[in-house]
Amino acid sequence: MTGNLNEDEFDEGNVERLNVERLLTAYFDNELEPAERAEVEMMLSGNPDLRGLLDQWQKSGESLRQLPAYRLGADFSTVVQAKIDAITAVKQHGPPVSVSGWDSQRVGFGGIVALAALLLLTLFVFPSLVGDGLNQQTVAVVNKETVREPKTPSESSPKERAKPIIAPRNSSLPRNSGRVPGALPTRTRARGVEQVVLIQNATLADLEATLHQHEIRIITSQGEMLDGAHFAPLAKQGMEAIHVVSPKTRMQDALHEIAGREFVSVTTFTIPRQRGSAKSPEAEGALALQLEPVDFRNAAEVNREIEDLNQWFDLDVEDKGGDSMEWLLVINSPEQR
Amino acid sequence: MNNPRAKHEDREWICRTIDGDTESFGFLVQKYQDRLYNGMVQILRNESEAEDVVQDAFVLAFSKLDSFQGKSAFFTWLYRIAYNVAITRLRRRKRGVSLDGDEAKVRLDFPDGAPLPNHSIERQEEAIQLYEALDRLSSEHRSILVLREMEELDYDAIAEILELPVGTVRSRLHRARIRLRELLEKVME
Repeated sequence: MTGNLNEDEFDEGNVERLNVERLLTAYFDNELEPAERAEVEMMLSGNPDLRGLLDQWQKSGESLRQLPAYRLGADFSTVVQAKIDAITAVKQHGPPVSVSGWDSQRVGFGGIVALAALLLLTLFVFPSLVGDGLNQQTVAVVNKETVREPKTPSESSPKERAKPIIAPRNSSLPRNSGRVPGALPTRTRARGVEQVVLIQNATLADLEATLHQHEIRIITSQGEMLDGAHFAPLAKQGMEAIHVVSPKTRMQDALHEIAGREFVSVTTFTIPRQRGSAKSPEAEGALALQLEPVDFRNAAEVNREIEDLNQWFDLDVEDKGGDSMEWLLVINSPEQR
Repeated sequence: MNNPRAKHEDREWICRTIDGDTESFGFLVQKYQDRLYNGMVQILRNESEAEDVVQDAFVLAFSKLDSFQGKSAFFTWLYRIAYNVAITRLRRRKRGVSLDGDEAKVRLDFPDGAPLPNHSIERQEEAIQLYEALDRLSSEHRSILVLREMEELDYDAIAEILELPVGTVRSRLHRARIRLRELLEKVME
């Protein structure tokens, strides 16, 4: 009863034990139907150890509920309201005019992307790319031309990050002085990645539109370019992005495949979807895109990432009938290919 | 949580917000900010990060408000947004740390620096031990305990927030409680 039975280990030997655990827990939390309660009561009557376990849980639960509560400062709601007002203002005044190039002085994110950009709270750096990952859905875009001053993540205070940012004005990436990726000693420079912008709150359509607008080349894990109305495969500024949309199994294949290439950096996006029976329609809007940059240097690292993703996002659960979608967005520079 | 009156009140504010009255959203912020913040502090074990997460969650919720259909409580929906933001941070933080291992890397201070100031020494000591155990607990187990024991959410709400089947919520809760007891015994030694 006290072992570490994994809920996803559904082999026959574990089923009965798992059921007992679930029953006992649900009994404790008063989440059982009367018939099941009676079943557990009977089980408990002959097992004082289990009774003792429930008493321990009771005590722990009470202690947890009595812990002192943390409270926010008085100005918190004012800060949130200011952000919301800023978003609303942009909605009312419309997005800026779209332009073709990436330039911090004149970047235009068309349509919804402009709204999404208002929610841009952080600029990230490769390879650290240590932004907040706040996104509902996220787009990573590489700017190869703009020269930026270095800025470490620690310099980006919450207040700074809270400012609405339409276009990337600062970057924690090294300056691009030589236009020659690989010429500078930093890992980031060596890989030719200049800038990453995370656009928040974008829908899948926004993502597609942004990739299209900025003419980022999109290639599947099979090496095929995506075309069609949304994913226009246009190369631009020597940058290339590899973007894989796949169910989990294909994502693993994709990860393995790219592991053999000379990649710059990999950013994985996972959109948990349809987990179990608890899914509700409004939950759809709450799906958050998970983002984590990874530099894969060998197959072992790829395997670790896969394992990592599986554990964190309970992808094994989805394997049992759920439906999920994972994204893999790889940003590369042509010099490394 | 399931108070119909509160739900109706939330619905009113949501409708007004969608209709353009952004100040109505402010009522929702004020109503839930501390509750959400407390939960995020417990999960993240970091007050500053928790504040960022809560702030971002409200902004995201505002942006996605028209997708909220009211079939679950607004707080559940909001909590799920915040949780997704939080786990991204946790995932980044723990990179390089075994997921199976407990996370003893963070240490959360008590609010105002002291545990239960109006309680007995014994109770204060218990609270300190509990904090230590929570610090060491894996974020996965800590999260589900916070949702159940502190937020007192039912299984359906927990399942929605964590995006897990209810059966998995049960078994994970079971293991989380077992693990918490084990850790409490350790810190009491």
